[in-house]
Amino acid sequence: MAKTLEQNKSQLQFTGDIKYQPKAGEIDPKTRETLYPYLADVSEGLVEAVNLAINLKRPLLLEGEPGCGKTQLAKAVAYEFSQRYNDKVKWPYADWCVKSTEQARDGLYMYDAVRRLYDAQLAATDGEAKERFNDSKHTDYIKWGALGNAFKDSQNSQRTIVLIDEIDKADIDFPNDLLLELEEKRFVVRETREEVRAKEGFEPIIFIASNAQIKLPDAFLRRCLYHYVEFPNKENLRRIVQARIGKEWSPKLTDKALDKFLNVRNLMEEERGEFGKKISISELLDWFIALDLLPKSKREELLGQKKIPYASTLLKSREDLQLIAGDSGGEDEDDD
Amino acid sequence: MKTTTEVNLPFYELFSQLRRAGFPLGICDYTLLMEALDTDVYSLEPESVKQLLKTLWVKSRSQKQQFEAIFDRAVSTHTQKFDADDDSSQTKSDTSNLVTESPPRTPEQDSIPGKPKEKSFFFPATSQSPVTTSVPENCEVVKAIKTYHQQDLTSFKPTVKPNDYLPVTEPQIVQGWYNLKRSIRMGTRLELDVDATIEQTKRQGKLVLPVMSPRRLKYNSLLLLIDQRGSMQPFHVLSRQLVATAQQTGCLTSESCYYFHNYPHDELYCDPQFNTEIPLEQVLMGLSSQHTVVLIFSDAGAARRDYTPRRIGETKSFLERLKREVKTIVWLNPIPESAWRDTTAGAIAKSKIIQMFPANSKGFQRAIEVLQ
Repeated sequence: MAKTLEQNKSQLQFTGDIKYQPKAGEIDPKTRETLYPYLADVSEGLVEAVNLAINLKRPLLLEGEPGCGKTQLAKAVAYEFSQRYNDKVKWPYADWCVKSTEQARDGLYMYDAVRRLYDAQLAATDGEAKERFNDSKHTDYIKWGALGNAFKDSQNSQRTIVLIDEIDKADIDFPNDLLLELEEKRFVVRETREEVRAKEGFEPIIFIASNAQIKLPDAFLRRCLYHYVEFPNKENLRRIVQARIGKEWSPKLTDKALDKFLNVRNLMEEERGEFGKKISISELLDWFIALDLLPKSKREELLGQKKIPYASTLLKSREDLQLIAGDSGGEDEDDD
Repeated sequence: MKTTTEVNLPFYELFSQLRRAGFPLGICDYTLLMEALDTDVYSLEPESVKQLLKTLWVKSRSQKQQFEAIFDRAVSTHTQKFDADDDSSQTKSDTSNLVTESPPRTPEQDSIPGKPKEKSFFFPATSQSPVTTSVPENCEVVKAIKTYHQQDLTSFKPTVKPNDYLPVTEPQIVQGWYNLKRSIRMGTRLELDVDATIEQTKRQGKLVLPVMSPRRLKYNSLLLLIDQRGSMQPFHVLSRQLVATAQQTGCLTSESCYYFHNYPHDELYCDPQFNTEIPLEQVLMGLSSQHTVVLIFSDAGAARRDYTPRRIGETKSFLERLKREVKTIVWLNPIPESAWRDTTAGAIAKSKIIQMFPANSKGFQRAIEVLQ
């Protein structure tokens, strides 16, 4: 495998082509996750941005409304690379979902100081503890994080894809603490003074997703490439829905449902402005899946009514419900 | 790199236009473009170039909109110019014009960023008429505070006169908010406290249990009270900036900013339009007294230069009440200190209940110090 990688190291290229994406409902043999195809070309310029990030070895920062598929992109790239470059063997991929209390170091490694402390006590009597304690690399005390592992993989000539998800959930210092790692592709394990450096040409491919809840520091932004995932138009929404639930729905019915959805979304946009909370693609898909469970005739009947069927998948607060209730008078065909 | 004499730097004009519009672009961003052009990911079609530049130089959604406006203007002004120079009988739209008129490309030219002639086709390095970009909001504040003869209002360089009163700038506010965040240890005890463990081992003669301590977390709880409308009208820009930056830096949650008119009393408002009222009681209930710090932004009557005993009394009793519930209160006044004398503001400042500072960079800095 290393050999194929060697050949391809400079030629890694993401096409975003649907033929390299999983079939809807395919099961990942390792994680047992259900997979769905990702339509990268829906967002204009996204495929190029990914390739630029790979070529320039810079992280790609993705922003966009919640639920617009920022998180899925990294997996889609990994899946395509498995298909094209890795003989369908899974391409190394790791994700790191940032929590509000997390620190930048946690993604690199965790050091179990307490265990070492105990081992130091036990070393006199316990042979195993002594062995662990005397290991100059502290192997048993260090647990590598997603990013730390990717750097390690890089030393074994693997370009791991890393997703740092929801970076805006952490404290403002978090992105600043990652500057050295992202810029120079190295970090130092403080406890052992070991320097972990990515191998030239095999730098991890890093995607960062943010919901733009806080403004990321300029110094951090400067090191990233940026792509804003816009909300797709109706045609692309149709493709997304089709890719997910198959072609069983008649185009006319899909159209009707999409119009209903877009109508709700437009109402929300009018009411809350461009930056307010609106229903997203993930909610759209939930809604379609709920409708898809129904027999065909029932589905048609429900969508023919004025009332929105399964409104609970789309409307998540009292204000949402009031907003739609207030509008139900003029909710007929609203083509845009 | 080639010698730059007579060489047009590709996209330089656009680059400097973006810089003028406030994009934080530096030399490294420009060299990154050179690197990117080397990778062959993007073709040199205008649309593709636009995508590339967006990916490299745009870092937020609002910047994206701004960028598109500037880019389109730059393309269209140049195309018009191009049409005038060259009377080929083409009357097509801007983009198609650019595409069709671009000289035939050889693969070699495509990949070499140093080919200046071709790039300069879109954006000549020669200066065009300056594009009128939207005036940064700061300017309006400056105008409101001081009408001074023509000067460059877009940048806050120290002026010749040392006594000039200029409002605090956005980066200074951001810096202030950062400093305000204090870190305290809280949550689950996850980290080994080395010092405490050594201390305990020393005391007991052997290691019994290691001492753990919670992680350090940034923590703060800020309450903003903002005077709105009336004499504060000219400073709405500044108050918006205060709120926006505090939210961006994570200092302020959306429910800890309230508005009032003239002076704060028992009823506050949740929004600057005064749509939703909220009783002070309810605001105070949600506060934690040991941690909350309050910043009041108001001219306190200094803008109108009036002295109203009733207003002083009301304000004082409000402040005294608030003071019992929170850690610290400071008052930021957009009017320069010299103008407070003999006004309501002066009386409040002198009352010693709270400290009042002018809203220039030094005043803001001192206010933050007090809050810390």
